Amino acid sequence: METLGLLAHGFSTALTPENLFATFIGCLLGQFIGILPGIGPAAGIALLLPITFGVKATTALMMLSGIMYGAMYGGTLTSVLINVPGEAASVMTAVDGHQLAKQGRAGAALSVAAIGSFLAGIGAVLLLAFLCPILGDFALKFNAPEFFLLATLGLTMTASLGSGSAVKALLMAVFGIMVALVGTDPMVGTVRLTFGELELMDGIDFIPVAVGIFGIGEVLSSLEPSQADVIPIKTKLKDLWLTAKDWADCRMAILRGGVVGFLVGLMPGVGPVVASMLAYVIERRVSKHPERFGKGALDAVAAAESANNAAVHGAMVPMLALGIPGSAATAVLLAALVLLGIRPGPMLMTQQADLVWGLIASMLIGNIMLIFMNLPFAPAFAMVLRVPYDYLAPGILVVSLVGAFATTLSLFNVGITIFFGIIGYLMIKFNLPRAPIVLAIVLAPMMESALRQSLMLSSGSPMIFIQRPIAAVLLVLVFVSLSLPFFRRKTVEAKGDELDGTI
Amino acid sequence: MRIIDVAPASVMLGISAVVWGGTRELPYWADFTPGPAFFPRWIAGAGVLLSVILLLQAWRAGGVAKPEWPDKPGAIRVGLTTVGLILCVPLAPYLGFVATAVVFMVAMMMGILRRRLLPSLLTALGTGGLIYAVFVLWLKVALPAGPLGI
Repeated sequence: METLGLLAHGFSTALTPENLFATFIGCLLGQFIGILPGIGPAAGIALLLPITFGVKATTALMMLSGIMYGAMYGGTLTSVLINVPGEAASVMTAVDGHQLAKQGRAGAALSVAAIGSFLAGIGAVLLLAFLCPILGDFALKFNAPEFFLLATLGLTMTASLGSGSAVKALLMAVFGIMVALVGTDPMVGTVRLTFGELELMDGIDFIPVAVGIFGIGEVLSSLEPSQADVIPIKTKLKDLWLTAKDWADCRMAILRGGVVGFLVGLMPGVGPVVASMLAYVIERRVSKHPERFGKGALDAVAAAESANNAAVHGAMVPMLALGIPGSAATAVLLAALVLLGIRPGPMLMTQQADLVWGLIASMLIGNIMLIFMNLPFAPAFAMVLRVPYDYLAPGILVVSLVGAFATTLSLFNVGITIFFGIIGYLMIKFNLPRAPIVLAIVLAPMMESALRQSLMLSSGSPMIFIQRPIAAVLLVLVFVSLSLPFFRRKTVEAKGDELDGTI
Repeated sequence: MRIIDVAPASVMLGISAVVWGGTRELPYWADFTPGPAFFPRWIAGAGVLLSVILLLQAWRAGGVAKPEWPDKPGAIRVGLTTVGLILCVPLAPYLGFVATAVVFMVAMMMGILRRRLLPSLLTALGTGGLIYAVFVLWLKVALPAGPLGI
């Protein structure tokens, strides 16, 4: 009941004209960012962060989070109409969505994706509203040892649950921590790893790294193939109407996708990409006709899209309740909170109740705005796809540089952005995951402070991490997450041996 | 050789060495609390360990795995764009940030991406105008201005 009261108070904050406008702008920009290949929600939030300077923190956060979940809706358009995922979490949507479009059912695919995203998003926000206070109250028992291990768990889970090599993911997390070490020591203020460069005394700012790695790196990679002008498959308004059979086929997929997505999103470091893949796999497994998957199954689109939007909202739970980002995009949001002068962590729910509950209410409002944007106006947004990417790429690069300059008014930061843009491009070439770097940069200061405070409390004894019960559980989870990839590989090898044996 | 694994592992070994060497003058422990070199050295150690594990994995896996480098035209597009971005930094204080951005966009669209003149000019001027309106006029960000005042 208390939660409902707080949520009602949140609506009074979110429904002011200024905040409504900010939510609308955020959702609209997020929609466009989702449509544009070469830039995802993390880079989009980082790029657009400077335009929130000078507005209230609550308003800024509503706009920035609108970008985050708006991008999930926007990514569907490119996946379905041109078979190019607008952002990574829409990859699974492209698998069946584009097949449906080729069969003349683009409208149905877009429609079920929008409805699934909406329903799963609303459900996820309501769960978030009830879960955050519980988790926040629990987190008040946390002290330095628990925070250190929680941050470590966030990084190890990114490695073990993400796709690709776990060792490479951990290595990139270590690289991110090393980048964060440059500057001044957080506890005694000693300058380190600046190599005499004055500009590095304040450390390497998070925004240039995020914009460089996710924005510039991705655009450079997109420039490699010569871009033929793309003709998206046409959709008409009347095609968006779902039949009763479509709805009957998809409603359970939306429910399952939403639940899977929210639970995956809760796990620090995992994110909507894994959520949509997992939901797709589960839906195929429970389907009575799994042979349809990959050839244009509407329930596949429903499951994947519901999962990715639910995961984005689920990732807000650890961010708001614990101060631990659940994904790359929430890592950028967390950095934005710090830039806006707000200290994230368990105290956020009590010290900044207006901000938190206003944000949660704005997410409900934002999802309603997005369903109205996507259902009748999808064909209008699809026209953006007709603009050749060659005319968009230079603008994205230039806005990246301006955004990097605007955060500190320093051309040195622009240089850092370009440097990390090159690094981001090389990381794509060498199959190195990029999300662990931004997560690590955000978490590193807290990790170091918490670790050193813990050892100070225990007079240098590491036993403090075992003697405290919650810390001990977290330590076990860290080891479990580190060993998961090893067991996963052994399982895959064993299945391979079984198959060999049966041939 | 699996360049795709060996190269990043080798680079990280080097970076770990730099972190270790860069903090060797700082105290590891200060009285009763870890010093400024404590965390960097453990992180450098983790970097070395993970790099060695990656090298071992690459050696055990065997075979050849290289990055998928672009073809020649693609490499030229990426290379020239990168050079253009780098040149923006020293040019911005002289030409002005917005003017430099417009010049970069025109050069990129016409010179590198081989697009037509009129749409390229319109796109560059439109984007430059939008940047000026949003960042300079609305947000009052003090972008470096050149002889044209932009």
